[in-house]
Amino acid sequence: MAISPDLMDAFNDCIDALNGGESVENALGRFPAQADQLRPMLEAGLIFPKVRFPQIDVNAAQSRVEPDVQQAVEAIFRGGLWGSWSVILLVVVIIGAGILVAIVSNQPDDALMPPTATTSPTLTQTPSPTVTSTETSTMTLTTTATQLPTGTALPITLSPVVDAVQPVEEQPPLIVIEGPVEEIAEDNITIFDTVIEVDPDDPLLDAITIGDIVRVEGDYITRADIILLSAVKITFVEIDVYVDSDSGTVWRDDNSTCANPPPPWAPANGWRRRCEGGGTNVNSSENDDD
Amino acid sequence: MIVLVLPDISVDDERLERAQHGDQEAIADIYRSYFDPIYQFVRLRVGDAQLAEDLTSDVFVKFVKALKNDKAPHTSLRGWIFAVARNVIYDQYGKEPELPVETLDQWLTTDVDTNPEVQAIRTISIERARQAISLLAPSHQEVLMLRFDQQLSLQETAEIMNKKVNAIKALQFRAVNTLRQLLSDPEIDDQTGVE
Repeated sequence: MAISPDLMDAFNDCIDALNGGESVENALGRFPAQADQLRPMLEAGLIFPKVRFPQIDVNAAQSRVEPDVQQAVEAIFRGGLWGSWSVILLVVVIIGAGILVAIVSNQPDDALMPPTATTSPTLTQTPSPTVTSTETSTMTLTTTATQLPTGTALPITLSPVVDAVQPVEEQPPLIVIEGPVEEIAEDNITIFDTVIEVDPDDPLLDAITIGDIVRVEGDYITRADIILLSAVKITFVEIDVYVDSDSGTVWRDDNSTCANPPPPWAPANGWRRRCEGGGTNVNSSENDDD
Repeated sequence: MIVLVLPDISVDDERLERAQHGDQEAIADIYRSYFDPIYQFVRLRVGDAQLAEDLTSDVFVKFVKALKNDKAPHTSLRGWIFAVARNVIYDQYGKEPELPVETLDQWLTTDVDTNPEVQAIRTISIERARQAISLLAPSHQEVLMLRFDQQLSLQETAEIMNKKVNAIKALQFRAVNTLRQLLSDPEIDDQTGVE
């Protein structure tokens, strides 16, 4: 059949009209001279909606497929959000590092010491309105002046916010990064492309594996003109890890199986609740907050 | 006629933006909104119900992965997702898939209208229509499905099929006239082996 441009355009316009909710008669009414030719074409095309598969079949299929998609969402977004979070994190880290560099450069040579009230960054507390919570991932980066000894819990609540708290006098900023471990090299771990130096004697260093979600509290150090984050405290976010202070032995619980019972010195109350149906470890007086 | 309601584009864009930020409820909304049209599109092309489910699942998993990799669109979700569905079908069958003949048997049992008279009319109509559709070239099936069933615009259809707008205009014209010939062909039943 030879294609008439006018008829072709009219046919197209009629399809648009039908898709816009008009009736066949209304659509054809726009092209009275061609209506006789257009009508059988539209009627032929309109068989497509008629051959749709029944809704009951579609609903059943949707129910069967939904778990697969949900599983993909959970698997992917368990770590997937880190990509976008990391951008925010890196921006804040860079800003923080820049402020530190500025502080250091403004100090006298013999004043490589914590910032004072007159030289401290003028950051104000600004909860980010653009970062929203998710069920599967959180990230906290906090700049605070409270220098805590190793092993001391920080007064920080885990929340998906990026805060900058005005430093207190004479205390270096403390940085908290939480995220998946991307790389382990000797005594360094990498999170969000940020290299973090870990005390080589820290027994947790041997317990960390790539992919673990860890929270690192530390501060910046400058080494050979490179700014590094030096870990002060490392906490595993999603799994329980215990270290025997005497032997340095490490025990990990991945929170999913019972195949790896804890040694007597580990509180491991989570494992015991899950696998033994019991409560706390009578051999340990430590509190287990898992 | 069953009227298919595709998500409003502005609602789509808003959901998509939330999905880009990992909002799982937004992803679920998109899934619920698009499952029906994507499944219909895929199943009409491939015939087999189980395969249609698997391929539709692939489409949405690809969507989720694209969100993670920041490769999902920021606008025009419907065009993008139909294009993915089309690619998934081609990955399965190659560029010129043939609808499996045995699916015609399945098609014959899909009408659930309880009115005997309507049932009879619709059964005949659906049989003949599906037989005729099965004999169309894949590109003809596709353009008519997208325009008449999925009610996509000429521009969206062109983007999905990777053709120019004028080419789609001509293609849909040729396709519908081929379909008319098939529908009026008295030997169509013999060709498909059904009744």
